[in-house]
Formats: sequence, C-alpha cells, structure tokens
Amino acid sequence: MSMALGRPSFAERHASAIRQARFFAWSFSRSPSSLLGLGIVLGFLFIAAFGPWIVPYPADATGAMNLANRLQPPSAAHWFGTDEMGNDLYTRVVLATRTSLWVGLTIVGVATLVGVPLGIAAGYLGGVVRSVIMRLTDVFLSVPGIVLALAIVAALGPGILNGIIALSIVWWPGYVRLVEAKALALRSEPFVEAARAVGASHARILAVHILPNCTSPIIVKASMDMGLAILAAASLGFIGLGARPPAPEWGAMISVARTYMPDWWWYAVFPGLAIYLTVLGFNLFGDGLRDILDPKSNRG
Amino acid sequence: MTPLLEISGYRLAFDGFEGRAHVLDGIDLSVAPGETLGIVGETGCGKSVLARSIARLVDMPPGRVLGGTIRFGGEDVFAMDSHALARLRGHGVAMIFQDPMTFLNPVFSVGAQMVDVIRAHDRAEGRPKRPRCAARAAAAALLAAVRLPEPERLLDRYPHELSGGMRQRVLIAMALAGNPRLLVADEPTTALDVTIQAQVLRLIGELVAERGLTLLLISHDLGVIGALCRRVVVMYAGTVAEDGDAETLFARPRHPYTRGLLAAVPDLARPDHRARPIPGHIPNLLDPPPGCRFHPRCPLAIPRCATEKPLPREVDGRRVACHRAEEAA
Amino acid sequence: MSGPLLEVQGLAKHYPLKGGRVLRAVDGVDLSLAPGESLGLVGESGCGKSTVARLVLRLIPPTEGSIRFEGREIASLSDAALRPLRRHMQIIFQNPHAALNPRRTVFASIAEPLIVQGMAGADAQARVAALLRQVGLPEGFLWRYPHELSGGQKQRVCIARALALAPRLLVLDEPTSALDVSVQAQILEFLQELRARLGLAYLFISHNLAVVRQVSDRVAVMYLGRIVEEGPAARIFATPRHPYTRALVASVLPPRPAGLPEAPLGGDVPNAAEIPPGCRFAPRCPLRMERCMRDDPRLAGEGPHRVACWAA
Repeated sequence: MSMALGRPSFAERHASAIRQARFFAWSFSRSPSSLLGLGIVLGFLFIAAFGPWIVPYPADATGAMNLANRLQPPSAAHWFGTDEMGNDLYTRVVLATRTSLWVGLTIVGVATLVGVPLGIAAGYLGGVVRSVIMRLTDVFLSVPGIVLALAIVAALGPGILNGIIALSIVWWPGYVRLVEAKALALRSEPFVEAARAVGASHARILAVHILPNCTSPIIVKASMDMGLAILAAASLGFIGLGARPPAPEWGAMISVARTYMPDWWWYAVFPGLAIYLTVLGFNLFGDGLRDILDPKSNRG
Repeated sequence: MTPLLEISGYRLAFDGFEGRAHVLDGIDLSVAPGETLGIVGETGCGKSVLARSIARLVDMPPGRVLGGTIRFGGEDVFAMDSHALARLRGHGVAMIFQDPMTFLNPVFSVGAQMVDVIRAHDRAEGRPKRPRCAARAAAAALLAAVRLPEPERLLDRYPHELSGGMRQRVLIAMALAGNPRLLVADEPTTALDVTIQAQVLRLIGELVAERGLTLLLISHDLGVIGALCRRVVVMYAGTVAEDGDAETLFARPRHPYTRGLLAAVPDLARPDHRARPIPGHIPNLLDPPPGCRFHPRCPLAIPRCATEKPLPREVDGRRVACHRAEEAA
Repeated sequence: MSGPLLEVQGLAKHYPLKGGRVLRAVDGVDLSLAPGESLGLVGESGCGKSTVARLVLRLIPPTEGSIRFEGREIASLSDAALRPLRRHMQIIFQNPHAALNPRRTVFASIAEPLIVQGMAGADAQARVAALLRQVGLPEGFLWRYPHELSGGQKQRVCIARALALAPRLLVLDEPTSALDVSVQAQILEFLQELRARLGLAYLFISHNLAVVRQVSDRVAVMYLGRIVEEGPAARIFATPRHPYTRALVASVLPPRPAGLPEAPLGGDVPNAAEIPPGCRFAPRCPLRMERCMRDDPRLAGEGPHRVACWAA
C-alpha cells in the first residue's frame, strides 16, 4: 500500500470492487441451475448478434417463395423443416431471435426508465407526491396486462412497434412498486440522515444514496422480465397483433402454424421451443442473480 | 459426579469463499449439574457458536467439526439420532437468545406459540400430545412463573404488543416449557434497557435457583456475568483463555487478556479508573496467529508465545492458557 | 467567544397519532452547552434523547421551542437557510454498520461533506487522507468499501466524516454501544483526546452510565421527554437526588461478582403517548406522594445540580 500521495494504481483503487466481483462469480457458479440459465442467455445473445451470418438460407428470412419445398419435415438440409412457403424454419427461428432481443430490451428499458425514477421519488419524498404516483400506478396495475396491451394495440393498429409501446405501458408500474418499497426503507437509514446532516439536497441524496442501493432488486427483476416480455410480445404476435408476416417472429410463426397442426408438427414446435428456452434461461439467470445479490448471502 | 456437559478438544471451522475460518480451536470445558457458568468474550471469540453447538444448531456445511466431542449427560451429541436430538433440544438443553422480537413469530399469538412448544415437547419426550386446553393452562402457569401479570390475558396478545422485557420473559417461559436441565442464555439482556435488564437478570437468577437448573450465560458484559455466575470462562478468538471461580478471576486475573478486558471496562463505582483499551485488534480467523492467538497484542509476549500454543494449566485454583500465567497479578 | 454555544428552551416534538392521541417524544426540554463542554444525556428507550439530538441538529423541525446556536435562532429556519450552518454541528450515529453508504468508498463518504458544502478542491484527496490520519486509519483505507471494515474502523470513518467541516459541536448518539468492549475503550479514549485537541463541544447520548461518567463534564437525565435531573457528572452519579436517577444508578451492574441486582424499579418503560397527569414518573416512583399525582414538578435547585421532584 503506497504511502506516497500519488495516484494509486487501478488495481489498488478498485481492489475492493474486483474482490467483490470475484465473490459474485464464485457464488453464482455454485448453483448449476444459475449456470444453465447463464449459458442459455449467452447462447441467446450470441445467436441474436451473429444470426444473419450463421444461417444457411438467409433469403428465407423475409419470405422467398419456394413452393416446391413447402412443409418438409426436419432433415439434414433443413434442420427444423420448412414452412408453408418453403422457407427454412431454422433460419427463420434463428433470425427471429434478434427481433425478440430488441423487443425485450426495449420494453424492459422503457419500463425501467419510467418506473424507477417515479418509484424513488414516491418512496423518498412521501406525502402528496407518493400518493399521486402510487394511485396512478394502482390504476395501471388493476387492469390485466394483456387486456390493456390489446386495447392499446387496437387503438394504435397492429405491428410490432405498437406492440412494444403497449407492453411498455403495461410494464412500468411493476418497477414503481418495487423501487418505492426499497426507497422508503432507505430513507430512514443513518447514512441518509448523515447526508442530510451535512446539507445534501434531495436531488443529491436520490442520485448518490438512494438509487445506487436500489440497483440489486432492479437488476433481478429486469433480467427475469426479459424472458416474460419476450413471451408477452410473442403472445401478441400469436393473436395477430404484433409482428406481421412475413417478418420472422416466434409468436407470429406459431399463429400460422396452428392450422398445420398436428401433421406438420415441426412448424409450431420449434418456434415454441425457442420461446420456452428463452424464458427459462432468463428466469434461471434472474433467480441466480437474486441469490447472490440478496443481502443475506453477502458476506461482511 | 459426572458433568452435565463435557466438551473435549472441540474444533470447529467455517468454509467460505475466502477459505476456512478456524472459529473454535480446541475447547475443553466441563459443567457440573447446578453450576452457574458465564462465558465472556468479544466478537469472534466463538462463544455463541459454542453454545449453539451444544444443541447441534450450527449448520454443517458451512460449518465443519474438525475434532473433539461434546457430551451431554454422558451422551455424544454428534452421535444422536433424530429422536434423541429432539429430546435434547428443550428437555435437555433450552436456549434463550438476544433479540426476542426475531425469535417470536409475529403472526401468531403468544398463547398459540407456547401451546405449540408445549405439545412438541410432549411428543419429543414420548408422551401423547396433551389437548390444547391443557396445554394452554400449562402455558398460563409458565407465564405466571416468569412473573408476568395477568397470564391468561397475555396468552391472546401478539408479540408486537408486548414490551422488550415482557417478550424476553415469554421466551424464558418457553424455554422452561420442556423442563430443561441446562439453560443456555446468549446475551439475554443486551437489547434491553438497564432497569429492565436488572429485572430480567434477577428473574433468571431466581428461576435457576428455584428449579435447580444449570446455567450457561453468555455475554460480552462483565457486569451481567458478575451478577449471575459463580464460575467464569474467558474466551478469545476461539480459545479458552481463563476458566475458574468468579471471585478470584475478577480479583486476580491471570491471563493478560482477562486483565486487559477488566481494565477496558469503565466502572461507575470507581470513577478515577479510566477505561484503558487493549492495543491491536481481533485476529482474522482465516489466518490466525500461530502459537497463542493473543500474542500479537500481549504485553507479556515472549518468543515462545509465537510458536507454542499454551495449554490450559492450573494456576491459582483456575485453568489458565498462558505461558506466563504465574507472573504478577 | 462568550455565551453558550448551544441554548435550547422549551423544546418539544409531538407526533400526532390515530384517534386524536399525541406522542410527546420531547415535551419541554431546556439545555445549554458551552463551547468545548461535554454534556451527557442519559435515559432509557422512549425518553426522547435521540429525538433531542435530531432536533438540536435540525434534522427534524421542532413542534415548539427555541434552539439558539451561537446566539442565532435556528428552530424555524428553512432547509436552504440551514445549509451553511450545518458545517458547525455534526452527528455520529449508534450503528456504524448502517451509517456509511455501502456502495461508496471510504474516500467518497468522507469527501461528501466537502463536496456538498462546495469546499472540495483539487486537493480533496489530500484533505481526506489527512482526516483519515487524524482518526488513526491508514491511507490505504481510502479505496475500501464499508463491508471490508470492522465496527471500530467504520466508526472512525464516521468520525473523520463528521470532522471534515471542522464543526464546533459534535452530537454523539450512542457512539460505542454497538462496539466490543476493547474497541469501545479505544474510541472513547480517542474521542476525549480529540475534544481536548480541537476544543469541540460534545452532546453525548448514551444509556451506559459508566461511559457517560467518563466522557462528560455535565449530565442530564431524561425520562418520558423531560429532563428530571441535571448537574456535574461526578455529583449526579455520586449523590443522585431524583428517584429515577437513583434507580438507574442502582441498576448498573459493576464488572465484578456482585450477586443478583436489586432491580429497584418495577413496571415497564412507559409509553410517550399516554403521559399521566402530574409527575410523569409517579406511577413507578417509590417516593410517590399525593402531590405528585396532581402537580408536575419543574427543574429546580440552587447551583448547578437541579432536580424535578417534589420529594427531593
């Protein structure tokens, strides 16, 4: 440890953070289900990133017609079989991953950006501000999510963008509730009192003391919500209110595949498996995060 | 006379991310029936873990017994099957902990919890469970025994409606429900106000005398220990430093740590005696000092202390684990 | 500087409860503190001592009463007007484990007062390092997080943070209650040395009478929101006059084999929402007379040792 008052090395300054990160990695790796979740999530991200370069039939993404090849069962040439247009299903399922990723990110991102500040303000400021925000949140929470999303999409018209808007509006109240509780608890902590005792403004306290200590529950909820948001978007696609054919999207694919069940089973099964694995992966990963971020399992 | 509790060479460690913490390093302790023993020490000395070990309440893993035995009433605690263990907990050993609020379930009334405990003890001791009304009557009797007013009405109250002192009395009543032979009280009054503490300690002292219980009282507060205990064990960093009669230990402490501890406590009755700190800090149990664990802070340390762990030996009628225990008081 | 550093008169804090009842946490307290003096405030839970601490620092607004700091009235000032005054008075909390933001380094926590008051310059790091040295911690601690520090080390960091703005008054709310005995002795010795070196005034709140005796020049004993006895520390503990003070002193357990405590005070700690008429200690008082149930005694006495009791 240097006694000179010069710049300490990067390693010195961040020794604690590095130690903490290694502890998290160790804790996380002790749970096989968490590792499985992590593996699935990483696979999903890889496919979403590199999809267009690893698919065998890129042209099939946007519906090239190849009617001679329609509804072929899984084979060496077409791992997941083909759909009613003759497009390779494997290509379409893989490319739909990218759609799902940005759908999930956008919904969760918007929900967090709107919900977290409202929640922190409600929890910390209390009084009238809290009443107004929480009542507004209650109004949104009392309408079942899918019904509200349907209503919004019906008003805006179908299409994946409108589906995302609708779902973001449905999703933000959950974050308000989560963060409000944490901010309320933090408000009476001595370190917040200490900040007030030196004259810190509300804005500074919210940004420096309250928000950073709320990140754990937000991260856990956001990672689980990714899977659920993707599922919700696929549900909208399934009832025809999300992505429109021929754009590749899992829910839309299953919607069309319904009429081809059970004889041409691969058409519905593979997109369905993709949704299932994605939601499972994010859930397991989120569970794993919660286990390591829970204060009771922190040391020190 | 066979000791009620006999701990021999007990070594316990906890395995965690950073390695193995050697929490207890060879504890030898024996408690005769009817004794009042106090264990005093600071954070990290292992007193609470030792107390929980008696009833096998330490999670293993991450805990791991590295050696030694604990015998209660002659039986090896670690060799007990689930029936014997159920009888041990409550009928053999009963525990009272520090914070009564976290040990009482907030959603059940006091009476409901006590009836639960009483009937569980019935089952553990091999009797048929008595009917609820009989258990309720027994619960009221116990609440009266701990000098709580209006026991019948208290049975229907919830924990949050009671004050800290009353909750602690309820816990004591629950501890007595199993007719234990050994009462282990781990910091029973630390969370209480000083006037309430005096009441509760007096109650524990009277109950122990009335029922012929053996008492194991754990505290960091020398005053609490001095009030109730005839015999004192001083622990430091997982080892026993000194063990013997309270009067002589307080008057003529032989272990340098005991001396340091006594000098560090302010005393209202001796205002000119300024509290003097012990230099240094408690060792890291992941990498404890070799030899005597106290030697880095000890004013009497010699080279031998750093290499050879001192074994307890008889000095001045007490067991002291120090190479230089004979030197000036 | 002449005149008291801190002068409090008729201070009260009432919290309205459901059903029209009022919780009188502090109900008419007068205090004064000279520069460099150490005043101990003792009492059990519910007596209002922690509330008094927060009122004096204006962390909460009083319901009634006047608080004068260096002659200036601060009881009714707004947050903005208080900000520049906050430099002169700081607080140390009971639980060091909760008094530091777990997400900020030691450096960030100590520098916070400087940043908030606009006094952090290019040499902030140097100044924080100097503060760490002042509390006896090595410079390498600057980049550590609270969870890597022991209780005593955390409390020292809190003291360094409190000293950053060079205050004249330090309020200490049970600063050593959560610490081990040997660590407590270290911190107490350090606090006394600090007071001598910097000429600070202390408002030292504790339930531990022996600790208060060692650290304080004067002591005030609180019960149910009022001060029932006050005077020089040595006198109060050697010859307590109020029955409650006597009971407190008698309940203290000396660190020796002294046998079962007397437990002179029966009953439970009272409820500040249900204050009896007359003297508020009367229900538990062994010297209770008829007058005590009707008339509420005020602090009285010649000289510095004053008692609020009809029987004293």
